[in-house]
Amino acid sequence: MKNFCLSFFLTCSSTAAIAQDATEIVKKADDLMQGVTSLSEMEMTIIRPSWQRTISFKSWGKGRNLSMSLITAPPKESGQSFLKLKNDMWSWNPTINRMIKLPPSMMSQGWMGSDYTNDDILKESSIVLDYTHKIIGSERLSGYDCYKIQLDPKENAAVVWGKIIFWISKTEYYELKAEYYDEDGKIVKTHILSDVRFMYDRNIPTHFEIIPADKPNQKTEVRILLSKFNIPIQDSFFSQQQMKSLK
Amino acid sequence: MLLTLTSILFLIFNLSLYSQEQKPCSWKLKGYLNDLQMVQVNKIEDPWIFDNEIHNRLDFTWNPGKIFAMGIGMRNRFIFGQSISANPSYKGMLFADNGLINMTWDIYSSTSFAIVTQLDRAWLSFTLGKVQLTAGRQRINWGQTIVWNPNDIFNTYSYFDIDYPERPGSDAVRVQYYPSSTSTVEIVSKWNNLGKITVAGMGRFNAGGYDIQFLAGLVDNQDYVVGTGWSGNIAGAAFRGEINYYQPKKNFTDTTGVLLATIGADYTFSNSLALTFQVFYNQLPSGYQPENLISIYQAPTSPKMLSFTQWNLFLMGSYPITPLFDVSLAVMYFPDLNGYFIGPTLNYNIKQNIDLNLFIQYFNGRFKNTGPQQDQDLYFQSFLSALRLKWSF
Repeated sequence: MKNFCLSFFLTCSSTAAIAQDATEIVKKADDLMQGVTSLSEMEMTIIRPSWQRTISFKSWGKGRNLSMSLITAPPKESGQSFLKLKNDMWSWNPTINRMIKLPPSMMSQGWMGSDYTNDDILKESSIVLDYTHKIIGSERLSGYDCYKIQLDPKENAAVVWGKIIFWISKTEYYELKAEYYDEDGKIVKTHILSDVRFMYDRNIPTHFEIIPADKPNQKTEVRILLSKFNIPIQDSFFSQQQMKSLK
Repeated sequence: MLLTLTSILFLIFNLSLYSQEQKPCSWKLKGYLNDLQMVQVNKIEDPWIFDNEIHNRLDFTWNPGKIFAMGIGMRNRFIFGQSISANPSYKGMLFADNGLINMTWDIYSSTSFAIVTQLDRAWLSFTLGKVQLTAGRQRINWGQTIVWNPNDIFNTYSYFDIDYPERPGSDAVRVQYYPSSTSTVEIVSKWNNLGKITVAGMGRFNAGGYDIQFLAGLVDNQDYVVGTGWSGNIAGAAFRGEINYYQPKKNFTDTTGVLLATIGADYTFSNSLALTFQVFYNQLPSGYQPENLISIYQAPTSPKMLSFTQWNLFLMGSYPITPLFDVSLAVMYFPDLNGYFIGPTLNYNIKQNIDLNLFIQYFNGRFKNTGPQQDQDLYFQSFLSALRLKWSF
């Protein structure tokens, strides 16, 4: 009995140590892409077999609760902005001077018709806080040795995924690939990241491909044109007053 | 006048190119050019009325720093077809300007065409910290719901006007104060073309996931108004509402007021199907009925009369078949008229900045006959179809 207790304790503590590592790795990968605050300019291209469309936008973020984005092109949509404060989200439409409070059902929608969701853009859920993490293997990907880490949603976490698998490079903590699964364990989409470049103060992958699983000949590409990290942004910047005068 | 404005805009545009080299984005010029071909008919055997409109919009804003900003919005329209020749009052409607200062110009017109230019935005704004003052022609939008907006007392508009998504502006002075990142307090004074003042204050805040607002004021120097509006959510769906109550200034104590109230919900399913529902009650003078249904295409003349029947129900479904092609179907039901409206639209994004839109609007209803044959209801129907090709820049 004594032996059993000891081995049980050891098993528990070693599992805890591995889980801690996995969480630490995911956190480092997340911090690398996000910083405490960030400002980025991106270009998103929706690619379908017979056409493609490009949307440009800027986004500002602080922590996981404050974010704002502004569409800068194409002209028809330019000037529209989005604000997310914790669980509340608004859009500002300068054409009709109207602030619209968006319902939560909008969050999982493809953003501007892309395979990117509002959740991806406005970071509704946190890959660090809303999931438990475990290392499930190692794999070499695009020349980098990667941890393969499985994320399972915590109970009561308001997340849209049933499971996520990340490939994170072992030394640089680049998140190079991610597979998103629904609650039935069926793969929904894959993110592939590449083109590591120096941005502001660090090297990060600057090219994302979002490939929906059930539509093999369509995808969305996002290119980071500019990124700044840990720049001073006041909390009060993330406001309805500011979202009307973003530029 | 048009030449002067065009050359001013051209000069500004050039300046903007110049200024972009040093400080990007302080100037912005955008707009569109579209052609709208319309056909209208009441009963199918009646004469069909064809109209075409070439419409150019220019919106330009200048935001040189944190304090000062300005904006001009200009609408240039060349309209030709049978409505102008058949309906003598149509041109009057085209050239009407509801603002204190007339900024709508008949550039050139004759019996079957009109060229009309209008400035529907022309404002200056000054911001000092959390206080912003905006003066001039501007759109003040206090609406919370989607179709009928009782709270939107400054710029009434017609939901059925397919070629004016920007909606009119009003000549006003507006002071906004932002106590926090999700609240505003504002006071607005507006003057209409008869010099009548509308002055009102509004406060909006966010609590428990709801945006809640209260307003009070005087409309057209005629009626006192109090109102409230909200946007929140129930089970993932947006839940919105607006209520306004008007009491005449004259004989304040011995008259009854007018109530406008609406609630609505909208929900987007995971397959991107979006549903919008709204029910609207507009207390109307007893015995009121519209002279004709054509009047509904014009912006309501008063925020007290936003619909032509007391009860109005709206349901709309919209669905993007592809990111380039979306369809929607709006249906309204007017129990008092035993009538309905059906409005399907198709939107196709042909190229990055070129869109093709098809709008169909069909009305059907019965009015009480106030003429000699009072026992027979008047049956009314109206059909409109419009195809628009739009280039945005």
